[in-house]
Amino acid sequence: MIYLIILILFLIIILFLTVKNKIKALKIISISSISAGILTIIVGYIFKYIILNVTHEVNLSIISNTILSKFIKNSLILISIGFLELLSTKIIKS
Amino acid sequence: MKNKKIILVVLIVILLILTCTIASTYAVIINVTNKNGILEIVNKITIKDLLINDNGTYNSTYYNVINTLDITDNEASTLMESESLNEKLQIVLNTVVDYKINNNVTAKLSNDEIYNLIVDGINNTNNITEELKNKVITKSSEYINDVSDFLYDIEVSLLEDY
Repeated sequence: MIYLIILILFLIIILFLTVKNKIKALKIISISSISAGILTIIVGYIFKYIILNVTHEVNLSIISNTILSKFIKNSLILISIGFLELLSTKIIKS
Repeated sequence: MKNKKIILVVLIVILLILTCTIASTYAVIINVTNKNGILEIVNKITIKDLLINDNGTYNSTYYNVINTLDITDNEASTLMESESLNEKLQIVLNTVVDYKINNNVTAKLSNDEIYNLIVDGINNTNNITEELKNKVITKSSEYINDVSDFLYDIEVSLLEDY
């Protein structure tokens, strides 16, 4: 997990170095964060579908819904971070 | 030069989105597969949850159980709502998860242990007739092998496999 966080920080740094306009770079990061949040929800629904199809002998809805709710929570965190970054670009611009 | 920069930025953005998504997914997997995560999920599950489909109808396992035990829907309802039996279910589910996901062979309960849990659960159930009690205990003794096979042979795939 720590390697993923290091990779994310590394990519953010490279992006800031590559894009001259730092506000534009922050905007790109915010859109990436929001997109990752949306993708996380999709992944959550895929996991839900997989779990429900593990067995049909018993109903695993409780398990799949609990796991989906965790995906949605993480997704909302990513989306919120994205919108906060977008808001901060507007504040910096003004 | 400008085109190369655009391609690089696009590549970084794609990598960033994928990495964030993978990190988020991995965080869920870690949360769900650790001891507290498993307990959180298992402690929510009741007998009724396992035997009822999302549309409120009973599944085939429910009908197999009531046919095997030769009980009515009302008697089945008494068993499904038994607090004591639900507690025993959670104990068993924890061992199933430990056995299947953590590959802990020592976690698997023996037939006698499962039988004793069922008997204990039945004896501590309120508002249950002696006839129903005896039916469940007798049939559990007869079918304990099948119960154990059913519990520990359900195909469970670790989320990480996907």
